[in-house]
Amino acid sequence: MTCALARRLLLAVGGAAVLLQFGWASPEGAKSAAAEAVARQDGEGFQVRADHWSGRFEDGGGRKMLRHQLFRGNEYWFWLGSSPAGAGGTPPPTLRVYDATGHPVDVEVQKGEDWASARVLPPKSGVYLIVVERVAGAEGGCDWSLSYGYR
Amino acid sequence: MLHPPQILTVGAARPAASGILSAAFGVVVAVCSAVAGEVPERLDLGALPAEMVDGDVLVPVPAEVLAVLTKLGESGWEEVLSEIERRPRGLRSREDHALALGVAVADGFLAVEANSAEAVGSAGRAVLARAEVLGMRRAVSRHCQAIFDAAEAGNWTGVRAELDRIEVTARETMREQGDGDLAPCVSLGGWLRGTELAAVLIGRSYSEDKAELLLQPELVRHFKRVAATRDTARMAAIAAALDEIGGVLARSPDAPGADGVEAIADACSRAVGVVTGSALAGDEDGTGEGGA
Repeated sequence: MTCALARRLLLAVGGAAVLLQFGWASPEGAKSAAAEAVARQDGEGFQVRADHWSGRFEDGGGRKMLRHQLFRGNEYWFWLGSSPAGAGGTPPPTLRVYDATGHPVDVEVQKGEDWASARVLPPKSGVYLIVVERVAGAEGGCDWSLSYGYR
Repeated sequence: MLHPPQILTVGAARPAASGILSAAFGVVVAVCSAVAGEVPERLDLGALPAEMVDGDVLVPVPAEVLAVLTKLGESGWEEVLSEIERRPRGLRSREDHALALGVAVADGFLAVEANSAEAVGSAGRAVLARAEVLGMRRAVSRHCQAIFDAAEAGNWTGVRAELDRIEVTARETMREQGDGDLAPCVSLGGWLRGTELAAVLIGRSYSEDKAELLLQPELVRHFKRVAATRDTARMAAIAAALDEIGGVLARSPDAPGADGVEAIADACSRAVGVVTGSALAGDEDGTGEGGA
């Protein structure tokens, strides 16, 4: 076995070890996790949007914020999926919804190994802030996907 | 393996100001807060080290507004439907057809509120006609067939879902075709028509609860940015209408008054008329004849 081949094998084994340690992040995995979170409310009459948001946390965690128009009189659920699930013992990203002045408006929050969801009854029609947050110090990358439904 | 969810019920927003919906929300919030026993944690926006997610803005579909109007007792769907069933005229460019595609999808959402399978069929055929010109008939036709089938079965949830998917498919197909800059035009056309429908309905039986639904200043700003990227006479006219709408909303932080709602309806109708030649107001011709 040549040195070059041995070096490549070592790199491959090392890379696999890293992936096993931190999980294999994928946008498709995140979207699938969000879809499973949606399925938990299947049959409850929510019209789930075909479109979604997505993004990625790199090493070290962080906070992503989206602005979205909601209408008073509707009930909304937001479903967040993430991939990989709980890599390296790191909790998955969390999900909260705030009004434009920073007050939380989510009336119910649920979470699982690779998903989180938040229920909102907007007190007023307008723009709301959706915050996806990953704990500081999180190791490895993490893809996320966010859907919502209304009724 | 999925683990059982951890359910955390937290307190929510400040007490609502007025109105039946606000009172109901206030009761729910109070109950949830009492059960949770937690003090809401306010986000310090000034010190917020959050990264704004740029990219596509998710534009609410007209159904989100129409659904609230239905809950508030709105019932003038058939009347409005009968006023807008006209064939578009004067469509020339791909931009025209992309805008008109969005308008047709919005008409489909109105038809759903009226529970009219016939009107859903009309909207679906209009979508196919626009998609044909845009070279995406094959991508869109499966959604239209699903719409026709769902409408026949009275499955209005299914119709709404497929109408929503049409917009997403249209935008994705445009990007694949190298026409990505046209993609926002579909949403723009849909928003203009949806807002026109809502404003006309609200104007006919005004209430502050209904008028509040028109508070969408950020979407107005978003679409002004979209219009500014395209140097056409139609987009200039649409941008002017958006300026008017923005002005009304800037003067109405809580909810536009009856005059403001009428102004929004007029501005949207002019913009939709620019797109399709058929609108609820300002269509002096009224024949709606002609075509792509």
